[in-house]
Amino acid sequence: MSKGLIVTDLHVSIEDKEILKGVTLAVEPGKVHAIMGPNGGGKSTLAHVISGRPGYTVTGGSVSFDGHDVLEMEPEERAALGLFLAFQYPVEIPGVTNTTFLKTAVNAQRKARGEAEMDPMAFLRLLREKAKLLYLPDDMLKRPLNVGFSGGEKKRNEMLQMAVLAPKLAILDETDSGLDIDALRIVAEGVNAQRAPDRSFLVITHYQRLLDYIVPDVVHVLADGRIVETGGPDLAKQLEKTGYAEYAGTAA
Amino acid sequence: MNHISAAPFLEDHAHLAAALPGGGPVAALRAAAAAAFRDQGLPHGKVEAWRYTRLKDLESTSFGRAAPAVVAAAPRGAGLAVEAVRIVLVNGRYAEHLSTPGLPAGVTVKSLCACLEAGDAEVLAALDGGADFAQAPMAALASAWLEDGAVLSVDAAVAVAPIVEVVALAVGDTPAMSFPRLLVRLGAGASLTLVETFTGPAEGVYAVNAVSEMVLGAGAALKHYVLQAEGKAATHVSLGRCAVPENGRYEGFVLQLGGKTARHEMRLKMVGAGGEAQLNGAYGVRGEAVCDTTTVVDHIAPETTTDQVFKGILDGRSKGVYQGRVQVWRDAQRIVGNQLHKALLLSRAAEVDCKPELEIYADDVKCSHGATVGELDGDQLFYLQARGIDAVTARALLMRAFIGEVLDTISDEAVRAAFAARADAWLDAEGAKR
Repeated sequence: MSKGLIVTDLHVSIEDKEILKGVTLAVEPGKVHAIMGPNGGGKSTLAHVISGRPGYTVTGGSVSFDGHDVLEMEPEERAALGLFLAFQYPVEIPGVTNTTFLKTAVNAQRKARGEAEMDPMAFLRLLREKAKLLYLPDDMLKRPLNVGFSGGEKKRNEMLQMAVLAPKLAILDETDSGLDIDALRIVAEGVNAQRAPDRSFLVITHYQRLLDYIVPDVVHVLADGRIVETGGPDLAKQLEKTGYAEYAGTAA
Repeated sequence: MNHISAAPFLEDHAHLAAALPGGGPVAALRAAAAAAFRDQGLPHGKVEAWRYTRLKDLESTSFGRAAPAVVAAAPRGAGLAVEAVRIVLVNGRYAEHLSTPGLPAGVTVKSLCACLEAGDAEVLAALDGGADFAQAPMAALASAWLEDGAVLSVDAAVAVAPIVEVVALAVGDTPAMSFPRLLVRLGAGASLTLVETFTGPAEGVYAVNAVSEMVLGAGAALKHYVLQAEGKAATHVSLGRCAVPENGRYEGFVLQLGGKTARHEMRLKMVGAGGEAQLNGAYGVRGEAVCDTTTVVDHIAPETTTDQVFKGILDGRSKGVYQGRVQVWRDAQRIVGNQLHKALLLSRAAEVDCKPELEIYADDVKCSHGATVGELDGDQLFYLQARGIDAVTARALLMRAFIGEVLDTISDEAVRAAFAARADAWLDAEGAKR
């Protein structure tokens, strides 16, 4: 059984328009991979397809995680397997408190894995401890999920969810977008605190800035639906200087 | 269809009514009510107030008057799961042996039958909001057969601590109509938390035609929570009326979860300056059922405030109706009247009819109305699923959140929890089906 995320020749369309045109990628446990690239290149599509968002048609290729064919699974089954998507635009849900939501999620995943529900007091302790690390005040835990949260608070709340759910693979979909430098640092610290030998990250970003704080092992450039270049952390720095112009040609 | 005959419901009325309790004035009220119902016939779609809700089963099935029934004990779960002083009506008749013995100080409960027999003129005068039968055909039918019910009185300045629950229980296995009748009188400055619970056989065909009057003294405060939990083949029609006096407070909540055809109508008259009313509610309707919530709010006095929020969840081929009428009289200046109806459709075949009506004759008023109809949000569902919550649970969570927002406006904690539990049970039946 191959560990980690393996994407093989993935083709994905939205309403007959091909967005991903054969993406191949492998993220081993413990590694941080960054995916950079121009807007419209397919970065978010890749994140959504891996996590099971409806509305995409996979026309070819495969995605496996720890040997499981995730494309055959419901989003909640993928989550129970250990996949986590930090949303670019976290959804507001009035009437469901942050705490209720997270407790439901934790216990749903545990149930799916055949584990016992978490003791409510132990859950609250865990939640408070993780919230503190992200400088999230207690009252945000009692408020309806993401309702009235600022952009930065929403992203920190995504990091809180990640910390509490402790996934094996976290996909960060442009988590840095809309963040000021302080919020960016808090989010990055949140990610770095979670780095572990059995946990990998797929960090999707348009800008190199985030990668100053979350130093990746591997950097990929995704443009026009394909991985057009793969390299080390230096590739990100180089892109910061040159931009994505040189990949524009690959769109032809 | 301009008239649906009232005759089947008034068969042999003159003869049978003569055997009902009370003297001449009561007989005169019955006769006037019967005449009014005969004139109007059964409400139908051409009558504006009944445009969306046809009482189909009453049109097609012969419903006799529900007979008196002896019930040894109220069925489990008939009442709300709260600590309460209970008053039980069986087929509309006061059942003393099922009701809580011993009442809090300052509270009296009598059977309406006894009040009619004793010729209690005050009680008679309080019934039927001045015999306004032309505007209330079904209440006219109920008064044509006026026989029994409960009269609950609270002395002035008494704050009743326990919840008082009136359980209207329908029993029997033949299609029959019962007429639960409730009169609540609060003295000046008194306060009461009242629950009205309507329930009956889960599967049986029956009809309930209920009328509740609430008479408040100056500065009195009433919390009035209605749970309509009739069986799934039932026809339920109820009318509540309350006049909110000077500095009076009315907090109402109507939760409708049962019935095949159900209509709850609440009429509020804001008759004294400084009066405030909140009238909220929620409903769940599925299958082929119809659930109608109608409100009529009259701002008669200046400086009165009313606020209404109703939310419904609809599935299958069901129909939800909200009619909210706000009338502001010419001298009712500086009033506030808001209303909002939100419906969540789980099925494309379900139908929502929402009819706000504002009639304003004063010029210094703040009135608003709003209505939304939506489906479960796909982005919200995916967000929950992406965190590991299965689709059925995620849907239930979102539905609970939708209804929860309005349930949270119930200020009595115990009732709020009990109503939420009833709503949850309804939603669980929803989830299990998928």
